[in-house]
Amino acid sequence: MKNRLKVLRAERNWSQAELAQRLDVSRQSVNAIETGKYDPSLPLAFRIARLFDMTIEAIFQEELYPEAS
Amino acid sequence: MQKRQFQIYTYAAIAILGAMALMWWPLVLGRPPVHPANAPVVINGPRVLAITVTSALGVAWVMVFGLRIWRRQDEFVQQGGKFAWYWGGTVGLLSTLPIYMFISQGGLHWLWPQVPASRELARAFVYGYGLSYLGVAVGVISARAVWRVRNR
Repeated sequence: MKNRLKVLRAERNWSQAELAQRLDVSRQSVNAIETGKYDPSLPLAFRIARLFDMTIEAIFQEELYPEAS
Repeated sequence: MQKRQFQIYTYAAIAILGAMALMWWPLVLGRPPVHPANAPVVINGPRVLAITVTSALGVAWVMVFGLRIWRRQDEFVQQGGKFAWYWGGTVGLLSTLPIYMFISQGGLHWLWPQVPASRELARAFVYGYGLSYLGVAVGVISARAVWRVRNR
């Protein structure tokens, strides 16, 4: 799953800690989501979408053909 | 430090210190006199009972604060915990099996003859080892049953 969380956060000049506080999660969670290591649950995805006033699809995109790592 | 993290550390400290206080006081208060190694074993029933009950209380205490810690963790940390308990617990437990086989068959006595070996000791070791598997089995079956009922 790809996401635009890092870009959206940077546009608002928020640190990872600040975003974590707004979402009531740990900073490690924000980092893991931003780097694509962790896909958030639906409730958290909705909280993220609400915070940025966007739809979930506008923030998260399914990776149909993930790059081989 | 985040408020959430502070609360988790506080709960962990209360859980550990509280459980230690609950479980240790009968050990400290009712310490039996030291007997020579070859003296007959005397079991102090009330002391055994007190230690058993306070151990159960200590475990309950830890469970209460463990649940609070779990609820304060966010989903990412919870996922990490589930992964660690599932794979770490399974691999850790199963990897003790060859060690168990070696010791239960008298491997320690074979290596170091000064280590005592007897059927009684072997039986006690088998029961002790089996208790850990029994505990895990009962815990897993219970947790799965709870999960099924809650997600029906």
